[in-house]
Amino acid sequence: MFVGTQFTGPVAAGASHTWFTHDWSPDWHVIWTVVPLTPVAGAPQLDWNVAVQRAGASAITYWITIHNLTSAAIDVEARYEVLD
Amino acid sequence: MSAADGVVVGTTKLVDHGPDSARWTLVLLAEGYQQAELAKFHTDADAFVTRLFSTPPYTELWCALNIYRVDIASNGSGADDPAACADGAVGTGTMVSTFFDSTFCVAGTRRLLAGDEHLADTTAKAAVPEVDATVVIVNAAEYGGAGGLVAWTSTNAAAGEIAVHELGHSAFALGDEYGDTLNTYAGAEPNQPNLTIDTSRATTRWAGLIRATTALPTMDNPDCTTEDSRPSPVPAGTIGLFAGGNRYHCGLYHAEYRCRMRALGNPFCAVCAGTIKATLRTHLPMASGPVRGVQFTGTLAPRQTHQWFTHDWPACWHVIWTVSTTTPVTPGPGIDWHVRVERANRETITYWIEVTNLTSTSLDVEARYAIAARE
Amino acid sequence: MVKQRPREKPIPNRSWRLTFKYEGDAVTLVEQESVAMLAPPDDAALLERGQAGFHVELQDADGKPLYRRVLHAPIRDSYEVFSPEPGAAISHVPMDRPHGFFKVIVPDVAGGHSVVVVGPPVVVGPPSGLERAAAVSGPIIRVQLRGKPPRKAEQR
Repeated sequence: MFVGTQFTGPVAAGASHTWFTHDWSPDWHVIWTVVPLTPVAGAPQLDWNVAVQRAGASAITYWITIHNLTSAAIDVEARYEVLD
Repeated sequence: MSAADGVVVGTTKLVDHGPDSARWTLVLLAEGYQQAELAKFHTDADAFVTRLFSTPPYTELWCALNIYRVDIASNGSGADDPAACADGAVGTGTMVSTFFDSTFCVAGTRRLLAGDEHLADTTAKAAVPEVDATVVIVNAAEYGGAGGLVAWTSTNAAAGEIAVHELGHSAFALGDEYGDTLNTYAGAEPNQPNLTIDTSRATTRWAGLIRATTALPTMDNPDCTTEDSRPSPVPAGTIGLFAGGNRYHCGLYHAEYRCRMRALGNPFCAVCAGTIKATLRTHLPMASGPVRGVQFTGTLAPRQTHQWFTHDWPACWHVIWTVSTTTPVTPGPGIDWHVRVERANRETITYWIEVTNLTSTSLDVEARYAIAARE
Repeated sequence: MVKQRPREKPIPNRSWRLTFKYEGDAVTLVEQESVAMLAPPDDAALLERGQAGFHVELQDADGKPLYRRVLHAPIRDSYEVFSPEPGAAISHVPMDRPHGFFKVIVPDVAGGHSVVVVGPPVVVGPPSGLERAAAVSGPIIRVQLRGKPPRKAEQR
């Protein structure tokens, strides 16, 4: 198993932003989690969903859409956990 | 004035992301704080930690860091403040007995504030043997600081930038990106990651970051006897080749018009940020476990949606949530769930887990966590 | 190319930390410690590209580099002077003579025998810009790590 951060970036207030990351092995069991980097206490700041594309016989592209649930811009970090 | 003019009181781990042997460990030392002023040092140290957390790329590599503060009670408060300095500046003339014997007016320059760097280094190592870098916070409101074996900074709001710039040198080997008193560099390619003499689009040091439409050199200096003060010919954030580096006005190039290694008060350029990241990345928490468990259970009425929250999870942990129902349901799905995340503060996260009962009967649910990386 | 699994080779978390003192053109070892920490990443790629400046090498008994790391101005003859004005120019003021301390951290790996600091010669007194640029880097100080036998060329 190995983990890491794939990307960081800003998401505008109340907005959604989609990143894609390509050339992942289809043999890997990959989980995506997202956390905010901007501290704001009191309420949820983000959620996310993952869409998957089989870009080729041996490559997967993940499309990660992150939704900023607040009224101010936040920075976010997308993390991967590869289970095998 | 020396180590006899104070005492090390204690060490506190301010930022704890795991074992020091694996993390990049920064130590903050108190200088010129009397015993009764140590609470102020705690505030000043917290302010520096906040500054560092707010400084990309430290923000995104935060989980690679541990930070300590070392309380040192000096006999005197502040730093030596010579009445007259060779640069013409005037001070109060006050001399104080402090642990590291810090003083303004080092080398006849009032803004140079420094003390016994070897003592600072050995003090940091005695407190935290795995120290990677040390910053001495001097209890003086006037702007001042210096680099070297350790970084020195006063408590002036703008002075913390000095320490961040100096950490760029000492911890990450970044070169200066400005010209000073030297005109034209005629030497070989430097070994530093953020400077180059190579202006070839194909082979220059950060060629992969330069757009094909960016002119090279992007900004050459027409007068090598002085710094080029013209505005940038390209938009902010453009990566190219801009003249100036290692105190030379010409002959060496850096990557962006603005960078903290060229002038304080600027962000790190992409090349410098990438260099810092490359070092800190090796200190990030590795995969472990996973450690699994059930965080909470509950009951949902038919068609009910309920949100739970669970707080004080370390922000550096990789936590994966799943929710299951313990009530057998046929046919069809029983529950759906959704996770939202809150960064409650610099170090902790609150997870908000919303679960929906998709059925017409009550269901018991359990929320499970799997921690894939802790330290 | 499909993303690669991170290298499985473990990064040693024991290192040697060496502290040096310099006074004029004299550089001496002050302390050598074995510490439970990660050394910074190897800079072989940077040094393949450019050698002007300072770096530290961990060498084996035959003098072959096992690890190299770029150093920024470990031996200083001036102080950097800053200004509180955002964006203001940074300048330098000379020291009366080069003096101070610096430290290096190298990984404690099998075969590690000596630590060598490499850089342009220490110049006491102000050189011109041309002199600085022309100075050829060479070993400034070599330290045999504690507990290691002499280099093979030196064995008697």
